Amino acid sequence: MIRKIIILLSLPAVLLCQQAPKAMKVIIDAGHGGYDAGAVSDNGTKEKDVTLEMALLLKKHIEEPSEPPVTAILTRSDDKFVPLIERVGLANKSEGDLFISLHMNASPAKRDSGFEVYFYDSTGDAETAAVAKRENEQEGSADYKDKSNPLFILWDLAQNEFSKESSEASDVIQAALDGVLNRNADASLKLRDRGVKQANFLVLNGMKMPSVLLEMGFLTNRSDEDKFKKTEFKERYAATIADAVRQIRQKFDKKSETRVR
Amino acid sequence: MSAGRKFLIAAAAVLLAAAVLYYPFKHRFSKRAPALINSVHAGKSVVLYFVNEEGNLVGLDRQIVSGVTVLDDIRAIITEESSPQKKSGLLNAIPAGVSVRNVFIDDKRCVYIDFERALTERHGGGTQGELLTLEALKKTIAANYPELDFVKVLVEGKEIASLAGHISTRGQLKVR
Ligand SMILES: [Zn+2]
Repeated sequence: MIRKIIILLSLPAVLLCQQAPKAMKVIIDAGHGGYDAGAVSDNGTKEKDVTLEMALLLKKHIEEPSEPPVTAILTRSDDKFVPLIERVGLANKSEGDLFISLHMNASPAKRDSGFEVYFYDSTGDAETAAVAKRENEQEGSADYKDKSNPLFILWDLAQNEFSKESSEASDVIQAALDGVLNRNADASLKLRDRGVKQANFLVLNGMKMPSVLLEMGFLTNRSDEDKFKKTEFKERYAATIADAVRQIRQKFDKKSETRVR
Repeated sequence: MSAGRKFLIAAAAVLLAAAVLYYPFKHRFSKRAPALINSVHAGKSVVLYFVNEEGNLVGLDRQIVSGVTVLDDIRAIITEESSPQKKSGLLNAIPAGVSVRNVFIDDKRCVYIDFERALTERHGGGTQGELLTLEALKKTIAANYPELDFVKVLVEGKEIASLAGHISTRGQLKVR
């Protein structure tokens, strides 16, 4: 009898531990906008227009019914200029689980082509400390450039964790795009895979969630630019990123399950 | 006053001015920094960086006539890197036709390159385009001035957030 009571009493706790995976919130950032056209092709195609169109398509594919649901928040949904710091602020305030910034690449060399996935590189970067300082300025805190400061250490630990997950998310997106748009694609839809890289991006600095920046293709390369005029290609591209997002969610869910155990 | 005496006084004044100019930097660069004033105005071999058709940075050996100071030389090198390269067919990593307003070096072995606004206005954008510009600057300094450790990009005398909205240029860039 006593055993039954104990089991009944512990039931709510067991149920709490076995919660269904929570809904995922993805922040989609369409690069540039408004007076900032971004890169512009010889034909006049503007980066800001391609990124917005792809962001809207990605939102549609990401929000296709799934269990648990995935919701998408856009940093801009029309042709307006949003400062980078506001994009970071919006993502953090929305408490997103993943941030994806979409861009179109450009190079002085017209043969440069393909997609590449980036995540934030803070190695040897004085900026990280500066952001920690900015974020905590209201609290009237001490000098965050001092790396022995406990708040700096906490900030650093959090950044390292996000960096690991950002790297994993980048790998998943790159592998998915490589499969669909590179290795298994018809010649007319084939896009070169330039791999996963790291760089010191303004829009990824200070992000409190795993974040990636996807350079989807080169506007300075005629063949890449032409592909982004084909509906089938854009739909397939957005659907592939959405599939990758679902894989990322499974990966992160598994990780948190392991942590609970 | 005789002509010989006038010449001696003038020579002494020039030497004194050179010493005054050099002295503040003597301590700062005592170990490995370049002497700021070139001893001889002669031809100098330098390496310049451009982009090839495949989108890779390539180094080219060139001769420049060195100026009065190392700062003049750095300005000449960067200006040449921003000039169209019709002969070689190479492309500019630094947007074409952008002038350097000023160059200076601080006591932490960082060279500040102050460009006119055209650097950001004429920049083609894209992460790859920005990285090529910044890499070209870092490689140029690393190859020609191994005594310097950092490069900092300025526009019209001020720090800029980025060249075209991607890579941060707020910090000093480590050249190697
Ligand atoms: Zn962009």
